[in-house]
Amino acid sequence: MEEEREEYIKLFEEETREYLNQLESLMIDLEKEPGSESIISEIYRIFHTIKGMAASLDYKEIEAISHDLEEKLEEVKEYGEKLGRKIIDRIFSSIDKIENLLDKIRNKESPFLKITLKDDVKLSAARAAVIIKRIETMSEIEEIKPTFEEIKSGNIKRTFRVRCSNYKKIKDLVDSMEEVEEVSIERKEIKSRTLRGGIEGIRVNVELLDHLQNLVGELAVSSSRLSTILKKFGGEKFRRVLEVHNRTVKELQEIVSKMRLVSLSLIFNKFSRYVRDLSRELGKKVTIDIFGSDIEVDRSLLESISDPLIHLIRNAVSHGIESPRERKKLNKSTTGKVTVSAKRVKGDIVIEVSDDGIGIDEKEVLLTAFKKGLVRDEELESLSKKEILRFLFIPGFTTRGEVSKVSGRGVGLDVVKEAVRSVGGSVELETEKNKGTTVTIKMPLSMAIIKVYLVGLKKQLFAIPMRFVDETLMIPKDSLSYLMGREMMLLRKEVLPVYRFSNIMEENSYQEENHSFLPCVVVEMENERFALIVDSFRGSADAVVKPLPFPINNINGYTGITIIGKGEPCLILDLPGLKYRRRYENTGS
Amino acid sequence: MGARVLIVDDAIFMRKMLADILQKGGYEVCGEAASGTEAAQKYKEATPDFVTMDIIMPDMSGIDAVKEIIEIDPDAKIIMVSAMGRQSLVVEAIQAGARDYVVKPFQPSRVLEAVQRVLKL
Repeated sequence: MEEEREEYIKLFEEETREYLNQLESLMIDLEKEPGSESIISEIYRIFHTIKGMAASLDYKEIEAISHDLEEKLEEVKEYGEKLGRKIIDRIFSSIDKIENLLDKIRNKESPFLKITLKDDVKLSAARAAVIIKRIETMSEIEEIKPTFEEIKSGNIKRTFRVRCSNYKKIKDLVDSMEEVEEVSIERKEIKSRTLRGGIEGIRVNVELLDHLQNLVGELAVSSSRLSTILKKFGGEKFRRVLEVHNRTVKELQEIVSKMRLVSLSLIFNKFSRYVRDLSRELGKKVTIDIFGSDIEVDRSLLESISDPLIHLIRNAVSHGIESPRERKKLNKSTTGKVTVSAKRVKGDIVIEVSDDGIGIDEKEVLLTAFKKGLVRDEELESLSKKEILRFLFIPGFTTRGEVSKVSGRGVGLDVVKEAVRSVGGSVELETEKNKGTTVTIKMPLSMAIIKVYLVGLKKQLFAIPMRFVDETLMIPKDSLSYLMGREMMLLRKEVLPVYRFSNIMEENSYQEENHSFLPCVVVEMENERFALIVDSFRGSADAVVKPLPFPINNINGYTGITIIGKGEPCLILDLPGLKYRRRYENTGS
Repeated sequence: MGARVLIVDDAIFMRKMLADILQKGGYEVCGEAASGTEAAQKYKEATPDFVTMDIIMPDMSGIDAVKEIIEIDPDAKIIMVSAMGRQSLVVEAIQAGARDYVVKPFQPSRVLEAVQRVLKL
């Protein structure tokens, strides 16, 4: 909010100064063409504009000055009153006044000095007065808190605040006074976010921050390369130095990712207004509850989820929540409710957008999927509700024309999913007819460094984000079987669908032929568990995620690339993406 | 030679006490006044380096005396002498131009500190 206001103030100042310049040249024109209606209208319009801007920023003086002139000029315009010398003088003096006020706005930068007297000071009001008087000899005092009058009436304890020019020198001066316990500089407007621990922050160029993060990432990579070298060659001294080094790098990584955190409130705060406007436009009654807006996330994450969240809220309000009349018919409260809540779960942030609206009928979804050729005849019966709802995320599955058929919602979910996936997250949807829909976005708090599990396929390495990995185990080959045309395995009484990584990657696997036990990663994502058979396990690692370079950034199935151990490049798998790719292929679309 | 002081107080006892403290601190008492009217007069005659001024006195209050002296010499260095509980008067005196204050009962060190401070200005 603060930041926005500052932005507005800056805009206001610039724009108003421009207008004042225009006014001055208009006044010169007016002298050449006294009484020119068009010039007077133009002047009138400018004061009106300035008034409006000033009012929205609560600059009462500027507002009053412009309002005054606006009225005067209105009389001239409407009632043909003569634009005499008096009014012209007033316009000139008003221009000056507004200019001065603008200067004041700009200069209000000087901070307060918070002055605390020692507790054995007698007559603290008198002492404060002495100090203030002393400051006055060296600088211009803009504001005193409490005011001098209040101080005089004894309304002061040990602390008072003075805002004055030349404040750094004044601080030193006051600091040297015997009766003063402490002087500190106190900014009225804190310009940057506060780092954890309450230290006041500074403004940092975002690019620099990104650059710093990259460099720290490189450092982490070389750390792990050094560790590999150590394993190979050994050396006690080297080991000890490297230990310290690694600790430092780790700490550095943590600090850098903390520096990048911003509060969700930056986008969450806009939602109420958005819902109010949208529901009014649609003739619906909708309230919104927001939870967890104080949670902090990496700023790049915030950027990438802002649009998807707005999209989900729009879906909820325009397609999810029914009209008041329909709701009454369904015996629901006429006012619908949208809830946005964020919470942290382990290293993830989970954001839910839910509504108590009409919900989505999965039978309709299945029908649409069938018509589109996404479902085979024999699958019609076997698909679970979850599997059916997943169709909603397939690009182009729902179009505006079909909105009503699938009971709204779901429009553009593919776009949402894409955006969320690009930051390593996943989306799930739960719905119940006439009860409502909940869309859950889950993503890592920071996408800079993630824990991954490395698997091999032939000689290549791939990284699976650890958050998807439930367990890894060697399974006997004969525990696999086919059930209803799908490969399945039994794991502790649980039937899991099996996918072979080699199939997905269209490679032949040598493991499968030669061994009786197969390495298998049990993956859990988007409310679904399955087994992924790979060629080999290669252990876990911290991966510094780098975006994929062109042209492979367009290939489905990877979220990024990382450098592992000895400097091998390794693709980070986007498991949901891979699976959908496969699903398409299977269904022949 | 120490700086020269004009002591203004209606009580002889207080004048004596202040004079003792200041003399021990190395200052020279160049004049004493028992009222505000007298104070302005003496200030002109004695041209002291600084003044101690009681705040409540007969005929003219210390505050008015401060105003008068400041009129004579805007750079006059005046230290107010006040009892506790007279805070607003002290603030007023400071607004009028007094540079500092000391509180009765005196602690000699406090008085001398205040004098030093004022003389540095």
